[in-house]
Amino acid sequence: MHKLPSKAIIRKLIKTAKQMPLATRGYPSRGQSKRQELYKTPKAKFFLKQVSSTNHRDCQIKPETGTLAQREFWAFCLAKHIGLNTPDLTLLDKMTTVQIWFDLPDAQTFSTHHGKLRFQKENIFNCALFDWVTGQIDRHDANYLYDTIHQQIILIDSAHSFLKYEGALPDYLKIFELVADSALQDNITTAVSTKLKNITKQQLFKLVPLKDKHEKQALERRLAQAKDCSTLQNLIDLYRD
Amino acid sequence: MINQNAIDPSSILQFSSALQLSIDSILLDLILKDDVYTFKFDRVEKHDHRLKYFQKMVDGEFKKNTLVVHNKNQDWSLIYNFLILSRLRDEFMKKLASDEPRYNFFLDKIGLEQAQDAATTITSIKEASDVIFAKVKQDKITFRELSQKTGLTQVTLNRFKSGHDTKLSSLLKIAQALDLKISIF
Repeated sequence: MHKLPSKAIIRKLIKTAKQMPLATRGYPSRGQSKRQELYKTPKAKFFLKQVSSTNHRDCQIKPETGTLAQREFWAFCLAKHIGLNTPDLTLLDKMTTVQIWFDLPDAQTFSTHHGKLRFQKENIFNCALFDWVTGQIDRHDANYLYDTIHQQIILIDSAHSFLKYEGALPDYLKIFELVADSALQDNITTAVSTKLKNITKQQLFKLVPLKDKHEKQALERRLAQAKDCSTLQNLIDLYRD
Repeated sequence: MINQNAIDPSSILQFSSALQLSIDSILLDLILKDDVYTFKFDRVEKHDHRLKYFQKMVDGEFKKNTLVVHNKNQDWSLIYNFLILSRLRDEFMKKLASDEPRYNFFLDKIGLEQAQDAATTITSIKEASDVIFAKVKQDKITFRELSQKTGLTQVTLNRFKSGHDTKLSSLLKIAQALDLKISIF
């Protein structure tokens, strides 16, 4: 199952579902949230994340401009619009998201326990464009999954999105820069990048209904910058300018 | 820390979590006593084939909703890694084993075909084209995507698909895009 059912059905399924462990090690979840729970339902595994006002204070985000849950949902809406593969996600309420759980290791787990992460430049380009536009500041190695069959990364936990800051170089891009020097200058065009570059301002703010003026301006600026990027080096240069 | 020879009591949660994330049945408890490990389940789900895989991997024996494993020569550290990386999904297990042959041991125990790089001997352009485009179809890649990945035009790709000659450099680009290897003997 790749698509979530309605919110009413999700709530009903979770009520009778069995809770499963999240992390495979003893350490707590890495994200800033009040509650992170994994449920096994007859349909699929659902991952529920609930944030609190304390989480927002810690992250210095004003909930009235968009809660962490809303921001994650908006990021998902944008990802879905441009065709970027991410787990289906819904906003259960202003502070709670539920998403389909993918049974894949995150990059940290894979590289710690198995071996090298091998990337496809088109997939990295798609993800890097998305992370730039969304102003992602928290793309560490536990915030993307690794599909070893297709050598693709799948972005998860995009809650820290659409702030007025320019973002931090994603972990996977740091690795790619080190290992794939020659590919950094390759011109890349993908269906995802085309869709992202053709998005209109109207479409963008329908998908991402930001309320803060500065955040809106920052998003517009980042999108305009992304439209000029055709190589991974172009994207890396944006962070370093 | 999950040691090679045993699951340390301090690692019960870690190992249990790894197993739980791989199977459908709900694991209630893992008890370690001497050299006997007892995995207690709420209920063993009838269609939980991944739990059956695990049973075979560890030579366990089911007694109602309990799986009893005698700790004899298992490499628990390797089992743990295998669980968290593959989640006991067939395609992931095979891929892991193709990258690291030591995992083939588990595939043998489970009864899954070992991952091998299947080599195809090609003696004509048409044969090469057939192999390549069978892979394209298997991977569900469109011509447009293949063109973008290789930098070759769709016309070039179409000609090759029809059995026309193509440059070696083009063939290498296509093979790389499809994660295929070309060997000369």
